[in-house]
Amino acid sequence: MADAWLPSLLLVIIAAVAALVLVRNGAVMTAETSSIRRVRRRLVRDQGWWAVAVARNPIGRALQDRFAIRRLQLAAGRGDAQAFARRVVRVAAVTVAACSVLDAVTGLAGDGLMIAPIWIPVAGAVATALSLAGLQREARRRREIASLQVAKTLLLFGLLRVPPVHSPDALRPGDPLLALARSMRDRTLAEMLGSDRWRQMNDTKPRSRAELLEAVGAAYRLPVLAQLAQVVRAAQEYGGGDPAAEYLAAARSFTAQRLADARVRLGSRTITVLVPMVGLLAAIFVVIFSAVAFASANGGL
Amino acid sequence: MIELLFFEVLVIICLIAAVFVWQRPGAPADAGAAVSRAAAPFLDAERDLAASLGVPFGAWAAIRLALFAVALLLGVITGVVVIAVLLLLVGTLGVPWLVEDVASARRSRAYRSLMATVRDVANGLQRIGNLDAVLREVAQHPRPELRDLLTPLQTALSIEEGLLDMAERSRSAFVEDVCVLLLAGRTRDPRELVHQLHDHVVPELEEDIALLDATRAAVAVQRRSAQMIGAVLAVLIGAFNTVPVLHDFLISVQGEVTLVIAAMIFAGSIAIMGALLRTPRAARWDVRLVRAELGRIGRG
Repeated sequence: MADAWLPSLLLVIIAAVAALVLVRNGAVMTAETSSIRRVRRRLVRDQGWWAVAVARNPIGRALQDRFAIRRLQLAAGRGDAQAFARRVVRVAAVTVAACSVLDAVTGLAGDGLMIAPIWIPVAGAVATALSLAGLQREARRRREIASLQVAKTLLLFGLLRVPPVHSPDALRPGDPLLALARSMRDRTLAEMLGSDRWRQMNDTKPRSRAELLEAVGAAYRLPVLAQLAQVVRAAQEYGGGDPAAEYLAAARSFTAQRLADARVRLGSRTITVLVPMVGLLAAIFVVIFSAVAFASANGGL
Repeated sequence: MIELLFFEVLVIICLIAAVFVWQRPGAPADAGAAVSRAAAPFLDAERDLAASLGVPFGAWAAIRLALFAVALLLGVITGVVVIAVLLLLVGTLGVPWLVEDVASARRSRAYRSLMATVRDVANGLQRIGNLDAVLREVAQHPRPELRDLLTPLQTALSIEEGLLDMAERSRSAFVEDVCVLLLAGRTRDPRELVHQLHDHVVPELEEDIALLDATRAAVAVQRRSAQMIGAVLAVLIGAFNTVPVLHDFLISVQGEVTLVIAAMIFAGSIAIMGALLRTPRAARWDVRLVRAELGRIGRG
């Protein structure tokens, strides 16, 4: 009994924090309630000081994006925030139950507890954290794919001299952007653009095609769509220069940016990658030392 | 004795797998289709690799089988079960990792030749004013790296079909991009297309190649180092196997556990290196779908 208070306390704290985070993110509300709350928040403007501080601080915004369950679920194509809540509860419950059953079996067999009680809630918390990490990873992967797919269409808009969308109301199957997205082997971008789920993150009604693209880009956090929106605005709504040239220039700018990013990333990892190289050498030493130890114990070479 | 045991284990595993696949309750009729579906990604990857190496798929399958047989034979000769299993893994799963550098270097050369060809197309278009005629002309005298790739442009009934065949035959995102751009270009005014190719498309595609090359170079350096260290490890273990006391070590439980740990450290390090130098996979067109959509978009 004396051993049980610490894991119990830990479990209660973890459950309380998880519940608070999920409630704050609207995970236990229906989509309608959540939408009403968002509208009210926008009309009343009673944001707390912390929300204002987070919104002003780029690091705060980045952190908020990293843990914004609703947005991550949207980008990962995994349904709403409630689905994530259900998944987390299921994963944590299965982990805790599996550890408890294992302990019960080994305890009844007379071998003592295999996992100390303190580690059971920790295992539950780790499983929960891994679920979140998996969600973030999937969202990141799909964003990367979708960005590359949008970039691929830019050259075609330039060559064909067509706008990516025809109407500011919504993306429709006849829109070149959606039609080309559906011509990709990977359906990520087509799924993102083909549904109206992006409206969960954005209540405003776009007044122009550029605003529509910006809204979709902001919902999924796809900067390349904002870039495309700028081109649409410059080429078609301000009646600027040659639209084809604008699209082609945007495509080149995106590729140049990717090339620069890749060079920086690869340069910065030149040293980091030496760490696993040490692991390769360690494999050789493991074999040599074990063989020498065996030979010494068996009369030498 | 150890050889016999190893073969028995291998045969039993194969039998269990065959029985499991074919006698699953509830799905006997679909078992073959399910296996085909499950195997499709692996076969696709093998086809991509064979295409990158410039080897016909049949020949590549024969090479893979031969490598499997050699690994099996070497494994049996060593008389150490763990070494035999590791050799089999290297002879099957390890082959793509071993030849990827050769394949990507070959791909890079082909891409550069293709860019030179696109530049030739732009120049020819300025001269002749008809994209189909220029493509036919260029395909008649291909650069050596593109001889197979451009064959469909010589033999197809229409250039459109030729470009589709070329894209499918290449099994490469970059070549598919070029084909899609040429398909789109066929609907445009040739004079305008010449400017677009010279001013935007060619520089854009060259930057794409530069991006691919930058990543390839970084990965190739690490992979080559890992392959050298792996070769040293293999020679070391081979030498150990010729010394009686060390052979006893390798066939002992302690030795087998050591080999498994060393293999896990080695494979884990390579996986970490791969994760550190990971690049997003290129988005690929379904070229036939794009052709249909280009027609609709062009009309719209």
